[in-house]
Amino acid sequence: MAKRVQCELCPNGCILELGQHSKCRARMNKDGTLYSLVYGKPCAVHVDPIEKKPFFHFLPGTTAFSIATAGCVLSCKFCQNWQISQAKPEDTDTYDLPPEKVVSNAVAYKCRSITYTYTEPTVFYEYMYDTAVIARKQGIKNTMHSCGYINEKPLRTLSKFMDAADIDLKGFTEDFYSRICSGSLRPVLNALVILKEEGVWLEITNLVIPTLNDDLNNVREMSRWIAKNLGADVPIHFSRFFPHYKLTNLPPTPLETLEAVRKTAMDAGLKFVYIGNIRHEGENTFCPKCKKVLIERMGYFVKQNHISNGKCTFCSSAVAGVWS
Amino acid sequence: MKRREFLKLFISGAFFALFSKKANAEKKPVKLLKEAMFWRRVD
Repeated sequence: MAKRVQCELCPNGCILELGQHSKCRARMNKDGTLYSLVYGKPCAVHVDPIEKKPFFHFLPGTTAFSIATAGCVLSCKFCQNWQISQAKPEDTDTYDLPPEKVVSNAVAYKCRSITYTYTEPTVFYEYMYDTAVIARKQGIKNTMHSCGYINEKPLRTLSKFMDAADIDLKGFTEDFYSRICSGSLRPVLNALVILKEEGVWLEITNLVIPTLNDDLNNVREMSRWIAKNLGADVPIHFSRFFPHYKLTNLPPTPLETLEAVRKTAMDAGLKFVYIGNIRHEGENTFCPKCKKVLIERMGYFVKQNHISNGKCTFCSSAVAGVWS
Repeated sequence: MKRREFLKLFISGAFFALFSKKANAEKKPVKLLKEAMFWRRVD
């Protein structure tokens, strides 16, 4: 076998014969060289509230220029964006939007940040990296919403230009990652620790799926791990599941489940525990010290913000986050 | 949901529906492939 290559970007470690595509569909061995098939070709380009990512402790009330290309390193049965994440690049409608154009668009639309999101940004790593370098020079922040399924070297390289990351911690067992996501838990935990070490602002999202990852003992274990290894200040978003893709047989997550999960995480020591995809007081940020509402939200919209210079305006205690 | 809350939600939804725009990306000819940053030859 001649001219085989191995992709070293994610733990899948695809070894590709000539002409073969990677598992994520976004890379190809062409004449013995590995190429990205999606560089500068996003299939989704939008201006979103930063709260949609979700980031609740990072420049609240601002907008993020958001891009994605086709492809994903995982194959989650519950994927909420499967039409593009599980598609081949050639099967999606794309724009021609090179990195410098992404940044100039972000400036033109008065976005404080660029978010690499919707699918899995690891698959368009080179595009994300080049864009992030230009954005940093122009004072635009870089953020990503990722599954955290990426190897250490590329993640540390990227972290130098990444201001914030929201990582999907989809479950807390190897069995869940293996059966439901075609992946593994350990690399995701490693990525979380690396991002923390590199000083990237970190938030975590967990989609609560009835019967699959809503066991409270498991949630408690996950929350304790976060508090111990990342810190109790790391915000976690428990999102409501809706039946999509290959999991249309399950019901939407009941509100009672989300409330129980939230309480479990707070009892385990986490200070900022949110509920998403449903209207609830769990969308709001509360001061860990005086317990007053600091940021009142309605969906993606900020109604009130009582954080000033990173401090609670009621009791003056510091609130973890990037506020300006 | 109270009438006042409903109206707030409705008006904010209408505002974003009217004024949010899909980014004005350019349509250009397909460009060359980009070499990946992290890979190695096996053979």
